[in-house]
Amino acid sequence: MASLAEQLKLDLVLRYQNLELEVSEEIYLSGVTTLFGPSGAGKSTLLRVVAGIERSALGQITYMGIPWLDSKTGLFVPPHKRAVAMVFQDTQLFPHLTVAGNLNYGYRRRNRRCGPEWSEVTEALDLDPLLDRDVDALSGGERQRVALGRSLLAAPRLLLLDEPLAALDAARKAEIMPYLKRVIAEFDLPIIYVTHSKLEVRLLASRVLALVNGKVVRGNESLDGARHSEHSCIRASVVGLECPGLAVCKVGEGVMLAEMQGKHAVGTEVELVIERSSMLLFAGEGGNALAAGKLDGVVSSIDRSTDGTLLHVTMSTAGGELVANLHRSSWIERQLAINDAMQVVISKPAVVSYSL
Amino acid sequence: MIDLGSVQVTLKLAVASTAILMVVATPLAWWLSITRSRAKPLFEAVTALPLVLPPTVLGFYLLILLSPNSPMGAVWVHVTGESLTFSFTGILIASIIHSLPFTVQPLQSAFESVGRRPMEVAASLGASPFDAFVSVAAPLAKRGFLTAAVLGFAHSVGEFGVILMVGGNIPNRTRVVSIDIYSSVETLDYGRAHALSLGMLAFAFLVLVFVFMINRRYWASGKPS
Repeated sequence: MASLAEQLKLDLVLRYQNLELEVSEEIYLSGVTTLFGPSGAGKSTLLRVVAGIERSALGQITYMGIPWLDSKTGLFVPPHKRAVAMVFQDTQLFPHLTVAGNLNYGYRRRNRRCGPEWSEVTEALDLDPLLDRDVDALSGGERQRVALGRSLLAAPRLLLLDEPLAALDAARKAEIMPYLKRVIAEFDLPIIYVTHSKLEVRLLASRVLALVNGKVVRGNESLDGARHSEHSCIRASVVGLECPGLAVCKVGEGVMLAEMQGKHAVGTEVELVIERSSMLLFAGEGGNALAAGKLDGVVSSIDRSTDGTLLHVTMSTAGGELVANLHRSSWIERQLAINDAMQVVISKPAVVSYSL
Repeated sequence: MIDLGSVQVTLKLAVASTAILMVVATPLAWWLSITRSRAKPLFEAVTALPLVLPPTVLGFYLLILLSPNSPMGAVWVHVTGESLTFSFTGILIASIIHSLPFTVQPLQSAFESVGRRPMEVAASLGASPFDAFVSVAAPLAKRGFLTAAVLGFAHSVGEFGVILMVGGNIPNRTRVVSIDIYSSVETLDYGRAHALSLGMLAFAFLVLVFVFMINRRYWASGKPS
């Protein structure tokens, strides 16, 4: 458990037009915390309050024991002294500077000795070929990569991402997602990520804070699907529509139900995100199991999790590799062998990813 | 060769007042562009007053304010030993006040079209407000600066009524080109009036062409920079 010092403590009230934001929350400063909710719920406003850009909030913000805001004593740490970098949905690159100039803006002003090196960031985000370009000459995906790099180079103690994918089309989203994952994995940086997409929550989040009408909501069933879990991705093609938002997909001979965000015509190639803990393996036929999906596969590797409680069973399927997380027992281990043909039975519908 | 003393005074006045105007107008325009104060219309009205007041009214009040009998004029006499009225410093102050709206308004609208967002981004990347202004807002508003400087300069060059009220018509001190033309006509020296007027006409035309060229590029580029 993280100690109290590793928290961002928020105790805030803000009235802004129709919104009444009231948040009293402790956010752990590790991994990705997603602020999830419908538009107009106050997610972006809350992020702006944390960054210090929105100054009209009343209450307290404490970052690792350091007060950033205390409206009772009139304390307000201005945004440039908080070392909180923010990435905006519309990137907000400076049009009078080149890509290198934009990246250098925060790099030159970092007020901490630590923080990622220039080359680490440009390599992780493949920015070297773009350095001399004008920002007007970049594609949407490239702009977002530059914005991300610019923020990282400012050596922030906390990175705020305000719907960084929302303005991009599906292909661009698919292009950026691997970079986002790389940033999360390579730079040990707490991130607060605002989104209204369940899929982004599923792919990125360590934890979820759901915000509805300016208040944090707990135990909301509609958000259960958004809770983080490990997942695998496979390729499939849409063969039909079960009901609005739920597609039937084919993976080789297998069939899989999948939640869709947009519309995908029959025959479209898609990528499916499947929760690793929602899979069961059947030697031979899974037969009569009533499930969201059944796929055929061959065991290609079996690994134990670091704490030894799980088995990660990698299956080769017609849609690519799929990893099933099984609770480890000697009985299961005796039953499993490399190259066994097995049927994968999946209890929960997959989610159609941004892709292809 | 005609006497160019008035041209010299005019140029000196225009350069000096443009330089000081930019220093005074920039913070004022910036404040007007970001403030949420209820007093904003009040300040905007005061800044714009010289646009609508007859120059003689402005000149009359300045004459009263700057005269050695007023507190401000008296302090000036005490410190420098000279009177503010009927001096170059006096017409410089008058010119700055009269040209203020011509520099504040283009700057204010340039800052407004830059908006708050770039400043917020700069702050989140570690820039102090002043740093962010210099490194982001000012470069993005550079055409506004250019327009403001050109209009301020041109307006100072064309100053007449206020200067006549405050500075009179002293050769090589307060006699600017416009006043020179006026007194040339009064003394029936039409040749001199022609030469100076034609010079002013050509100058004004070139300035306006330049301003419209800047604004055209401003709109053609499709972004407020």
